[in-house]
Amino acid sequence: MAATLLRWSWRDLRGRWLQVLATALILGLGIGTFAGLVGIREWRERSADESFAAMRADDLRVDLAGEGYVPSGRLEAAVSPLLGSVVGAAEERLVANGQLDASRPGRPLMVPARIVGLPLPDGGQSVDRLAVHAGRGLLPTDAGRRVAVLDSNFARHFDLGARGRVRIAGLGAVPYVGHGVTPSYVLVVDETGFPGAEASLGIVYLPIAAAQRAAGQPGAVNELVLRVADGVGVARAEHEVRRALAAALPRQGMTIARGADEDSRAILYRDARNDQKMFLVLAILVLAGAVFAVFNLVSRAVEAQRREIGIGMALGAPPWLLALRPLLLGLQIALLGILLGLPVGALASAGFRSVYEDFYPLPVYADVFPLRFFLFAAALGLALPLLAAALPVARAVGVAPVEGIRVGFRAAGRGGAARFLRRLRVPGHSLAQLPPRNLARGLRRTLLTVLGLGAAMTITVATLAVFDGFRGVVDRQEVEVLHTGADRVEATLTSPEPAGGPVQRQVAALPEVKKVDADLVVPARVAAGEHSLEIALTAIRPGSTVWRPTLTEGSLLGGVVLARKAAEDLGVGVGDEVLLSHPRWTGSGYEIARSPVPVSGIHANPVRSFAYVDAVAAARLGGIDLTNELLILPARGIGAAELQRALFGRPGIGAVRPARASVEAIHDALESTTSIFGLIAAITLLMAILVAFTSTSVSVDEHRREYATMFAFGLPPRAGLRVAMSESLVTGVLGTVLGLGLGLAVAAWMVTSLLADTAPDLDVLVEISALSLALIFFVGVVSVTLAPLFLYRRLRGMDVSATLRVME
Amino acid sequence: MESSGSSTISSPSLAEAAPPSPAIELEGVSRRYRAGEVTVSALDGVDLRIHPGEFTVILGPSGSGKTTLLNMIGALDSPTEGRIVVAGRDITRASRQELFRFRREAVSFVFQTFNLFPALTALENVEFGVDVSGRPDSRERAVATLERVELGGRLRHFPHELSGGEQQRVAIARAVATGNPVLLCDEPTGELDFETGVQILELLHEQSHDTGSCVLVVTHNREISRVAHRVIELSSGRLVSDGPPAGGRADFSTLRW
Repeated sequence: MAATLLRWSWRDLRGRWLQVLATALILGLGIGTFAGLVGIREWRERSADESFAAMRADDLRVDLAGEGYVPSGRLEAAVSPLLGSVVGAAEERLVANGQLDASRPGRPLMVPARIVGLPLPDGGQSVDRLAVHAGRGLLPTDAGRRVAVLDSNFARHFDLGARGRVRIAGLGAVPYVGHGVTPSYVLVVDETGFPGAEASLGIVYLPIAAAQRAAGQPGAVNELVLRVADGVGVARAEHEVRRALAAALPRQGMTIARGADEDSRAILYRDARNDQKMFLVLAILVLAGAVFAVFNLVSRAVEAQRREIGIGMALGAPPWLLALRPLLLGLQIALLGILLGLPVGALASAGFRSVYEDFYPLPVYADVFPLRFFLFAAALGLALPLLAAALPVARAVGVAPVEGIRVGFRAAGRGGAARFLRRLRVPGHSLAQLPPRNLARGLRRTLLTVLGLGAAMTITVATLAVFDGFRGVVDRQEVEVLHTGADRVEATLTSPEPAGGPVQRQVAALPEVKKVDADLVVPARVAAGEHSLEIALTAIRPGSTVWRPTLTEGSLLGGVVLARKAAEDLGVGVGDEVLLSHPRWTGSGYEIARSPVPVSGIHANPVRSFAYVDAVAAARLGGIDLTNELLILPARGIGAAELQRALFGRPGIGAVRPARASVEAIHDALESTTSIFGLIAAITLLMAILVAFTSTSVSVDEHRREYATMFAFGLPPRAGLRVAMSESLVTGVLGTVLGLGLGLAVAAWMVTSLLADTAPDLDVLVEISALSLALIFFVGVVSVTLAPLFLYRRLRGMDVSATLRVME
Repeated sequence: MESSGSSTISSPSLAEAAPPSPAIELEGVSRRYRAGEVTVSALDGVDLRIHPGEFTVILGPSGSGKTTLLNMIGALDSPTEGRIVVAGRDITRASRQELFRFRREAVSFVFQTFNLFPALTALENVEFGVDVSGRPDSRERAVATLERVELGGRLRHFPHELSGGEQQRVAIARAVATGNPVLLCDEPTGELDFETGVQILELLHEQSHDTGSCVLVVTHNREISRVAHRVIELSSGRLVSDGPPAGGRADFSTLRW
């Protein structure tokens, strides 16, 4: 008996191998994508751990306050008594702001720079080692030379070669010999804490002597990086180091920070943690969509055996025996699905990882296969097809045998809507009545198909909607930043000056300049009730015309203008009062003041951290009327690049960047997320196509005798194809509509519930672009409708007499 | 296979030869179905006793309740009222498990539409029936039975590779090979041509004669009743006549339809 069953099952498998393979592939996609997505956090964290260990990342960082510098060797000498006992290693650095010109023929590239001067001992740095991605690093023999290594983020962003030449303000032309990163700049973070700042900030690593020349501080350093000795707690080391430095340099202001708290590293781990919440939801959705679709398909395939189960009952076969064959089918699909899940998981993991490898240039990427997540998904993938097989068997053996052997007993809906729909008449001849009648007759089967397709479309729509939501942020930000003065250049002053001050006047006098507006950008905090947010507060001067924020509500005058997302998160609207924490000039320095101000308007920028006040109100709040940023429009016939070049290296100008750079920064920051969503969307689209094909294939199997009867009456195969395609069209439309509704609801939930943690600064809206809508329509309706075409050969090659002869 | 040159053969005196316990016993069996708002009575108070070795034909027009009666006896369906005892088992009081066992051990079906498993060969279909009935040597039994129905050369053919008559013979072989004491045949010749139909009937008759099985054949073809030991006629769910064929039992060679 066992041998007969196995042979029987093998023939089942052989007879519908394509269906089984497609169903198993859907399961494999679900299992593999789940494992790949859920394993991202572990892989990111392990890669970061191993990378920071390989770079010997600092545990403590000492920065001299403001523009403070000390002679080289003083900082190391101060902590030298602690070496070995408390401090494992300590090295001095020089870090200074500057300007970098990495222009190539036809592609101007001038950005603010962070010059990092590194010691070049034999054997490499003992703390915060420079990890090289392309070309070579800095060698001890480079110590006295002007040679640079460019930040890997910056070089990748602008597609710079491994070797070349750049200009560094204060140093002139400098050859660079490679790309690399140090732990502080694995992510390049801007002043608002947003990663992706490599679009507008070039990190340049130089031998310390060259950096000192570029900064105009020969023989000086301003940073000490330390690793604590083995077995010593960071807190204790911090205390000892602070005491030693205070004793050695009593008048020198400085900050001591822990390496783990540094933006670059903290964001890396925080993002891994926060992103995972989103990925977990996506993983669960993909797996749920896949197993539901597989459940539905297996269930339908087993339903197709219901009459044979009925015959078995008539022969007195016990239910367990009747269950074996369908369970074998479920098991085959499950095992094949798990087997296919392995390469899919490996591919999905590789795909997701490659996104991060592009985004985070770590020196080490961990080699981890997400085995335990795979096993979890595999267990689910094993259990559900078996359950899917068991349920129809339980239903089949639950009826009286006389009903079990009745043709079409289970397929035919007998009550309620089915009874009504069965009588539905559509325009056209009798053949045209078949598709709606078939669908109505097997209402339960139709609903299962619609639900299976709907599940796949739900996750596709949800993924695409969030993907489009992120893309929408970039688009809206671009529109807002570039709505006027699109070719303007924004220059940061090295120190604030009064409106119409000397730097502004000199810039305005340049022949390359058409118009200059000045504003003030300060870090601030806005609070309402228990909620508070960090913001970059810009004071817009009256009469500024180069660029002004677009107000969607209220006005610029009389208060603070917030982003819609900021107002929403704070729970305030126009006219409500918020508490603004901002710098105030005391006459000799700055203090942080708290001022209650009304919300006067809402602006259109989707980034929450941007806020605006009018300069008059700002002067009143800040106690002084200053500017620290120039918005410069080029003269007629002058391009932004030419203008940048004219401003490059001028006294008083700290950084120059085109307005478009901030759009690119947002685009880059979101690239990893949108890429992951793009990949998931591609996987779910493939899944939806497979569901469409398999559903149709099962449906054609179920109706094979009807097709054979049609062909026996002389109808050509294309008539059968038309019937199949009409049925598919209806299920496709219903499944797509269901998927659209549920998918948008899931996307809305993801945006409101999950993005609050993963992307709190962004005003992501649930959107569906025309392209996404076209893709959804193509997959859900067109591909489902056309799926029977793949079965045309099967219909054409049908042995009509054999099909009709066998009374199943 | 029984054959006689005369046009009629003498039927054994059933009253005299009847064993003390019937193979099938029905008391006041009724079956009603609901079809929408209407209640249809498929069987109405049927009383019946059939003994081992009897080749019985149940006659009646479409809708008279023949198949319903057969399904009740075979425990494929249960009566709304009444009591059914088959092979000494009261199947109206049996549990679900007992009914499965009953169908395995007591009855075998031959369906009008064959109901073969299309993915199994002729041999495997028969073997499956024997395996299910729990008889030993299923392969040998299956081969022997298929040879008996003259399908020894078609063992490895799938149903779609067989003619209608051959498929029905496989179905009969599957039923016969189980060795169960009651053989229930629902329009076994309905899908077949005359010659094949006669062959099938001879096979069934031989089974009752050789093994003492109780064979019930449901048909609307009155001609078939001429070769039976006993003819039961149903109309509108009621038993309207019961007895030997009018004019005595005929030989198979005299059948015409």
